[in-house]
Amino acid sequence: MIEPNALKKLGEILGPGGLIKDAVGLTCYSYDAMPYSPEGNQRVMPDAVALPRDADQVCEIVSLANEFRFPIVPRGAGTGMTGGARPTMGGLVLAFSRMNNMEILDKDLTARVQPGVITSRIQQEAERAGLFYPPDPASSEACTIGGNIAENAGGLRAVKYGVTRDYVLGLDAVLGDATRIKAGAKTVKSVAGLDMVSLLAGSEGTLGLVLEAWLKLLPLPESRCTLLALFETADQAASAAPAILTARLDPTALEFMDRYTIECVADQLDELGTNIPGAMLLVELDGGIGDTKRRIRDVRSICTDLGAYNTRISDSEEAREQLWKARKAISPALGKLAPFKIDEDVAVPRSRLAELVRGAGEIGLKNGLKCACYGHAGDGNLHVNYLVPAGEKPAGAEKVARELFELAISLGGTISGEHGIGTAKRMYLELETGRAGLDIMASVKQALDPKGIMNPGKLLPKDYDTMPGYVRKNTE
Amino acid sequence: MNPPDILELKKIVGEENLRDSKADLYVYGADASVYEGKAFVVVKPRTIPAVQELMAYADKNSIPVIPRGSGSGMCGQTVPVKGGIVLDMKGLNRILEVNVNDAYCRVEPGVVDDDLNRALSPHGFFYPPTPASSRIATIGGEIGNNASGTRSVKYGAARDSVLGMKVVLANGDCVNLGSRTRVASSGYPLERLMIGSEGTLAVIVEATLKFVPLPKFRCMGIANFNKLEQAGDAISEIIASGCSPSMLELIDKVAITAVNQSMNLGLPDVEAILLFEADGMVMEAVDFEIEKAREICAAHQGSGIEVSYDAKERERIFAGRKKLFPALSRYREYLASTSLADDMAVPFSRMADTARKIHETADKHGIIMTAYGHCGAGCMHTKILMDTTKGAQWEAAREAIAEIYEHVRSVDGTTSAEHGIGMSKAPAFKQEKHDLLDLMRSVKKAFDPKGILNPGKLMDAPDDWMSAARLRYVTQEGKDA
Repeated sequence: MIEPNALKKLGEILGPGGLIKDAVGLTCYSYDAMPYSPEGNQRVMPDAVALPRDADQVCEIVSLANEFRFPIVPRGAGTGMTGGARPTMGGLVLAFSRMNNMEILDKDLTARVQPGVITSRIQQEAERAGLFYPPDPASSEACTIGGNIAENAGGLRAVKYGVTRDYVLGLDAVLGDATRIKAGAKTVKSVAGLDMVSLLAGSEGTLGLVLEAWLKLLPLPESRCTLLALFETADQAASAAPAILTARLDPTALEFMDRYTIECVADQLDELGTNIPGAMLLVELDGGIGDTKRRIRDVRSICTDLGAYNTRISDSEEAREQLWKARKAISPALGKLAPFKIDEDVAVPRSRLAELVRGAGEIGLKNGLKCACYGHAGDGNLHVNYLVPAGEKPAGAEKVARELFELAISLGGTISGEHGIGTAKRMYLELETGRAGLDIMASVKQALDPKGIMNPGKLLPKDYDTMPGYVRKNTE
Repeated sequence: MNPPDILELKKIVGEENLRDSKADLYVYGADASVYEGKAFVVVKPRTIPAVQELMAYADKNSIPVIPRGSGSGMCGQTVPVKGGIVLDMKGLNRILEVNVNDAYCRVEPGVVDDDLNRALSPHGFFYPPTPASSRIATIGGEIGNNASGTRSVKYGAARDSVLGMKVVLANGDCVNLGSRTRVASSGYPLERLMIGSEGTLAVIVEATLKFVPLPKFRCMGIANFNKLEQAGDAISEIIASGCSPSMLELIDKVAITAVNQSMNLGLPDVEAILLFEADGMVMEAVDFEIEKAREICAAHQGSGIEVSYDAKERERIFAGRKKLFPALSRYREYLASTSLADDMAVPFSRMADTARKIHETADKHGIIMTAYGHCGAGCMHTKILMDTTKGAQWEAAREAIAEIYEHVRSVDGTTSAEHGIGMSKAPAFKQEKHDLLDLMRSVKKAFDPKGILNPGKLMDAPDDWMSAARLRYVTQEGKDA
């Protein structure tokens, strides 16, 4: 646990109200949105929680952690699905909620943001300036940009606009060895040297902490239009998705939902009536008004040709928002239905999506678990949820997850599309990277965080664990 | 660092894939930069296991290895400065897969950019980073330098097109980095580190690249501006207006004079010419964008505005920009066009004053500099036209370059937009990234503990570009410049 001496110094750095040590406070910071972990679901309490107000305080804390050798667990809003913000052995949770300033620099099409800024606020403030911040994770109302960068979050618009990393121009960061760096540039084009910005984006807080970021913004599209298409079978919907892409209709979002998923949010979708479809697609387009309208009609005829029995185009802001609200409600709704769901996030080349949906269902059937699939069909990114009935323990989950990951890899895919590795998937990472791949990742980690204090127990498997001698304070 | 055992290398790559004649070493000693160097031997591996074996051998014996594509780099990236083995990657030049349904392809690093695009276009796609040197530039080199070109304003640089890759590490291990999927968040994105690493971290032996649909319509326009600042304001406004040009190029007065002299194009005597292009699947959308650009140019006193969809007309409009390189080398007798301060990036809003600063600095030091570039991406290129036989001109260039990059830093710009660092831009790079150099060195060490991969480049290049390697010019005084 953190030495009393170090705790005293932390209190001095952070000032009154900046350090949480009481049991209730610590409990709040002992979990995140990870529903289930193959390494066990027990919660580990942090030794303390820091709520820094500025970058200097964060840097001082990282220096202190090196000196006294305690783990730092960075945390945004705790909406991560793979345990990235959970303490694994106590230590200090460093929550960025008070570092939440931002400004829009509209002339250079950039935004300067602190890590604790909530993603939807960036979207809204950009929009007010006639600009557009495209990454849109489903948790955008709660999640923070610091967490988005750490996990390289994707979201609904990745099919057209890419992921968080594509919008990070530069970073002010502190590395595990307490070096403070400014990486990247405010210019759009930049090749100067090794791309440290891109390395930090997706490193899950295991290499360093983001203190400030410059984000790229785009001009706001003139119009948006959303199509809802209902299908009899999941296969039909999953094959319509690549057809829309190969027809070059350039969707902004292309979302797939299967029957179980639709059931969960059916009360929010008026147009369904009592008849729950086998699957549905939500497709959004943006661009010039005339152009968007023309393309959405083309999307509709592709869906109809491939078996959609009902379609509806929504171009009013209100109707569109209702649809997307229902889409974003899926994950919490599934969680309510099955608190111990095995929630996985895999991605395959998009033409293999139908095979993935079919295979994921078969794995569920074989293991006696209901399988709910939804996700970003345009990216081949599928969220597979095996629903463990309430009151039951997810026995055999490790096996189910492994079978799914092996399937994704055999289809040319990856074990994590956008949720990261964290603790939830670290035992499977070798399936994708091989031993030599893990070794080189560990060397890079060692180079940036030689004492291994940054978010230990995440991303790399157990045999690469740093800080093995750190003693937990208490567990629950 | 040690010389390699030729017999050992022949065993690994085969006798026919090894060269060490004087002529070969001379050819492989230079690239498109001002430098030349000398390797001990050139090998051309044909398989990944051969690359693995070579690296393991070089690592064990601490021999420098310099991966090389076509040597079209402008900053000395592939010039061997510490002897060793030049790895000619053009022996690995197959297109392994073109996957139309998933819009990606897998290629070996020695594939030439134009060849890849020739293979994609029958399917209706193209690979967009395409630098001006696409006729010879290889995919491996483009990734190593994060290359880009005229269309990057809309389609991005190599960085934006790479999904994943296979690399051979210094110790001979072969690892897959990145993915074939559009999204991935599984472990450290080490493939991102490779992009722009100039062969200092690992050897790329395969790349998975995204490609995009070829647009059905292209429309190009041109506008002349009496003042650089007017063109600069037009650039900022076009970018901020919401239209997304597929090209936005600036040509300055020096470049206009050069192409007029050598090609007799009759371009007007103005401070700046702006070339713009829009592309897309529907004509209405292209019209919308090109009209917006035309209006903005006119609002900023642009004159002689022309736009055209016609392929021949577009070629005519673009002719000056296309032949800029050879025209610059014929600007005036005795003046050579050198790749120095060749590349930088500044925020859009600072394009005009940066061009102005370049001209003023050149005047002050008695040299000639041209400023042109992919201004829609904030990218500025220059060439220094000087009498390379005079030592004093080199000194003047040295001072001018230092002042220009100081300006670039002062406006939040960066040392390289797309050409990389190598040795010639290392001083500016090291000043810009002074607080990142140790970090880059420790990352380099994690990949390449013995420092055998392309030594003496990037963060490990000398602080003075003029003495970083032999210059391939001779001064009047009879010795090297």
